Amino acid sequence: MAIQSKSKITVAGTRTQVQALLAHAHSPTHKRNFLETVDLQFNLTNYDPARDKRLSGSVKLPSVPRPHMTVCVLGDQHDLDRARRHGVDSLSFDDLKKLNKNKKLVKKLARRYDAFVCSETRLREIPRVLGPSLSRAGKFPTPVSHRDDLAARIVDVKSTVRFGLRRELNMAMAIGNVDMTAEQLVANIMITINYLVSCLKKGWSNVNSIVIKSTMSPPHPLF
Amino acid sequence: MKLEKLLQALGQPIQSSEEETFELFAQELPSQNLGFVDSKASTVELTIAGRDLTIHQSPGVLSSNRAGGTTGAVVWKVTPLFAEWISSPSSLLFQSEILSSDSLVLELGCGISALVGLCLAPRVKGYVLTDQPYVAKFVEQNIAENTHISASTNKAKAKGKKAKGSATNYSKDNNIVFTPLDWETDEATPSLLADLPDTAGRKSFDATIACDCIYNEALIDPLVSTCADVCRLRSQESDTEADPTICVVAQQLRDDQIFEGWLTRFMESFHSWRVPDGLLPDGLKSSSGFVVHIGVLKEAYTP
Repeated sequence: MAIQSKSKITVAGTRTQVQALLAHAHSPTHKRNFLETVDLQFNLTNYDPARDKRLSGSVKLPSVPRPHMTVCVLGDQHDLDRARRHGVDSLSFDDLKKLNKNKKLVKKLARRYDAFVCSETRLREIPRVLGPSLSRAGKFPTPVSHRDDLAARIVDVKSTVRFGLRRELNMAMAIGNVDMTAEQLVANIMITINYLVSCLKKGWSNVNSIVIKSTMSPPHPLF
Repeated sequence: MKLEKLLQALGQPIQSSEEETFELFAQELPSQNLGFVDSKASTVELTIAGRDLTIHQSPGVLSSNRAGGTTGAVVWKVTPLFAEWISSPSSLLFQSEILSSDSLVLELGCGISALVGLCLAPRVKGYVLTDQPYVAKFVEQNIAENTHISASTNKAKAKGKKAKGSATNYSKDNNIVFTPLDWETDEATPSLLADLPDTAGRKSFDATIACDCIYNEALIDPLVSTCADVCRLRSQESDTEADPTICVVAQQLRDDQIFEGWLTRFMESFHSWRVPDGLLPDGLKSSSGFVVHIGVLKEAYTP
């Protein structure tokens, strides 16, 4: 049972855990051949996801958590050209039609990319061309209009952490990577935690525990 | 038929709940908290259509572990926006005359604020607020305070005996009342109209409203069934030429699976339309994270 007056998180405490996590990730015995992501994991309590309003939202972070996050542009000719110029993967609507609404193929596409950006004027066509699999995967595309700066939009998508509570009381999100400085990680962490707690019905009373971990590390408790 | 006018303005009915969900969620939805206006304050001051309202709410009940749910204990963001829109004479429903000074309206899941009722009641004949009994005390307080009606006239008559139920303690002039109605346990019957003054002979409502009531799976079926039952009361009326009851549902866009679950179930019983952004004020548009749908019972109307 969570004690009501548990102390909230301090920046200093968080920094200590972040530094421990970074030290572990960079130590000779544990260094990996890929860029480890840093995840923030919440365990909630005093909250009934079956009967209460479901938390869902997004936070824009100052430092891009996953620079290697893969984005695909689903676009009309204009946006396809722009995507190619920026070295971003793209698919035309003809390419999408070739998938013939095959659930397995669409699912594969949905899994291959972390996020999608789509030409605003053709957004409506997507469910008709691809069927429900993209929505099922929770990968709703972000719209981009011809007037928007495509590169900036993609940076936005990469900087935004989306979260949503489904039926369990756990939530995890990628908020950084081990090549970031401790200060960058601390900033991303504090912003995410503070925002999320402000969204909860009972604030800190809804939080049972918070942990950070890098892909291959043990969990470091923050709360 | 007035309904035709309304439907013309709404455009094509929704064909696929999957496509509708996709269109609504594939947008830059502003990130919001759960959606309460202020979860800590015990009163919320609002101005709607130039009218100042003071709403009492219960942050205590909101954070409690009450078994039946505590969602109704505070004011939610979508409610003031919706209240202002639906009670505006230039809005869709008044322009098509589906709503008029002769209409009777029922709200499901009104919560403690009674906001929509307070704004709409002066423009219609009668307004019935319904929810679980735990909100009754707040609803009555909010109605009394914002319509300057004192309950003392009937209290005196009760001669110290405690009046049961309390929904009937309004003077005849007051056309807004509260009646308990639990979607999972209660039935929709013409008795819902009973406490409204001056409605003898009427057995049904012109519109039923649900504002931000869809937020978890468990309640989808009870809510839609209750909406359908309320609309079905229209078939009991002797006037078979009357327009069918319409169902107006407003909500904040949160979880796409729940939204799709609700819409799929709703479309089983109702022909459904989304109110186009062009007919809504900025704060209620889907780009602000809200949406309004209108439904007509399939058995009552063929488009």
